Amino acid sequence: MAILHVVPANDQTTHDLEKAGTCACQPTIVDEGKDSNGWVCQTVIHRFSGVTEDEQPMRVKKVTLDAKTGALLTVEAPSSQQFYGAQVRSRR
Amino acid sequence: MSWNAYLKHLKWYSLFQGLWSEDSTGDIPQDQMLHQSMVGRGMRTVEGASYLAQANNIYAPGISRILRKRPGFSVVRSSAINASGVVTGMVHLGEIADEFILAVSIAGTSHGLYRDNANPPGAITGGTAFTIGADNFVDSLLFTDGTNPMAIFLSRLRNLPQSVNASATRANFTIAGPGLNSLQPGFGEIFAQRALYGDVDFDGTVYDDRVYWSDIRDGNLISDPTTQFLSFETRLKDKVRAIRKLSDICMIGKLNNIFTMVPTPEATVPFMVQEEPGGKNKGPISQQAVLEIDQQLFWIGQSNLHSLGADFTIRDWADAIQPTIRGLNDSRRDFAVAGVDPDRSLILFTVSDAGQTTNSLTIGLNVKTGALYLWTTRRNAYAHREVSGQIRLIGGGYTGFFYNELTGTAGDLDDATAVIDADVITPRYWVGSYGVSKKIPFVLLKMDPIASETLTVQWRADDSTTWLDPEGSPYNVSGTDDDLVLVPIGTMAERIQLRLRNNTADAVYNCKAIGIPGLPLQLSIN
Repeated sequence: MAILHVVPANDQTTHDLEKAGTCACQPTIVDEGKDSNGWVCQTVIHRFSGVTEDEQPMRVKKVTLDAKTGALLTVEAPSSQQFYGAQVRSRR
Repeated sequence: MSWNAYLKHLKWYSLFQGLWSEDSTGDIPQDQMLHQSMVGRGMRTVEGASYLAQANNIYAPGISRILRKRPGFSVVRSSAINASGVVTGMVHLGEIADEFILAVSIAGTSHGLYRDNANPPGAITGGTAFTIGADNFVDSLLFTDGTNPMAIFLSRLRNLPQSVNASATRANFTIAGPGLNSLQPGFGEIFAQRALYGDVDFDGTVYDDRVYWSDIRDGNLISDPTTQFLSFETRLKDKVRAIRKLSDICMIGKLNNIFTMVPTPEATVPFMVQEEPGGKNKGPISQQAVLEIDQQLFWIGQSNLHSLGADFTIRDWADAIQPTIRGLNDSRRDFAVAGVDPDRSLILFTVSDAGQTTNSLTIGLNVKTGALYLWTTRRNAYAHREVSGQIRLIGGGYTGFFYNELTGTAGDLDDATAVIDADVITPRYWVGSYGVSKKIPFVLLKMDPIASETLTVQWRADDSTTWLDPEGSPYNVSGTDDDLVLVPIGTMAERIQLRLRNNTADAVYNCKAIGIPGLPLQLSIN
């Protein structure tokens, strides 16, 4: 299983994912229990620091590392900024 | 007197429109039917129609208006999960996996998730337990964590959400983002490719007026928790009680307020909100008692059943039984649950009647005809389940069992073997005219035999409160599709009321029409 990092994608700080406890942003580490192999699973929520570097709304990426080896498993850049729907429904 | 004279004055009632408890039994509409109008519900004349003074454990499916004993139910698993196990939520994982997951609370022991792949279903290990309690309903959403599809479980008491993936592996589902360590909602909905979360605990602070939304197709990420929410404060402070979508409209319900959210083309402001004209008590009271069916959302409110259409119009459906709804256990209205059977166009709202501490009364609403029925079934959760392409309504009970609903001929309360007591009381039929004494020698019952069954008939006349047993009752009903039962009465009366009952194991009855010959004799003004 994995260590999930919720980490800012456009702030002005470099975040340390390998040693989350020493990251300068002092992330919150949520213990998610152990997986079926007995490996500890965590969610590490890094803090956004200062203004965004591109003056755009905050963006976040999700990085998962292998709970045992620390190897990079996935990097996702989900977006809350996509839009959905083209025409607003209104009262008839 | 010749038979011709009686037949000439024979009046048939064949359109039974369900329960009417708004008036005393002497004033229940006959030859009239409610219909929706722009000013509430109006009446129109419909020859042969009548509401019922009592409609226990009967129904008419779809557009039918007969009197039929309701179907029973059967256990999905013959062994109880636990004799004290109360089902608080259920979900089939659909195309994610052919898995049926139940949330079960066992007093003093646990509140966990169970997988229906054994008899009885076994607990799924992992994750964090929900707070124990039959009323700590577990809502479920089929969505994704950004990578893998899964079921997300949210509990009414805002415990840490849980997930079950395609491999039936359970884990904590931490909804997080910058500045948000853990969002713990009471319930949710999937709408416009986002998870919507209502009545939330935000890192220890409860915001029960708020609805948060996740990132697109990523249920456990809220990239900007400072903007990805809407707050629904109202003057009559109440919490958000339900979130349900209807096409591209999402209803946000509070006790006295109904809001709708619609998606916008704006990336940074994905939803637009408006409040719908409602009024006191019009809103939903329980997330688990709001359903989308028949191009509408239906829900039980504080004093009526309501619907919302795509034209944003709110309608009332239970005007005829408002005293029944008023009489429910006030302290347990929040815990109403609902299930729907699209095949029969029936919504089942299971609630706690006065004095009940469990949901033991089911209000059946036929959404095609508006007819209402009362069933004695005891349920704490409903869900749909796909079995070999068949969509089944599943009900969860209080004794560790869950049931295939609307099947078989037995099942009452929380016992799939109990006899169904289908007990109908008609109005006091005036048979044509007020204030006229009639000679009523007999009553005819036009039956559609299912197999061979018995039917107990009683009657009483005018203002009498005493039921009389006609000669020959209970009657045997048999045949292919038609049997006429002649009930000897032999009375002179202004009004006559009938009671049809069958509480015999495995017997089902279908009454198509009631015929009453009322030969007018004299005015009976007193």
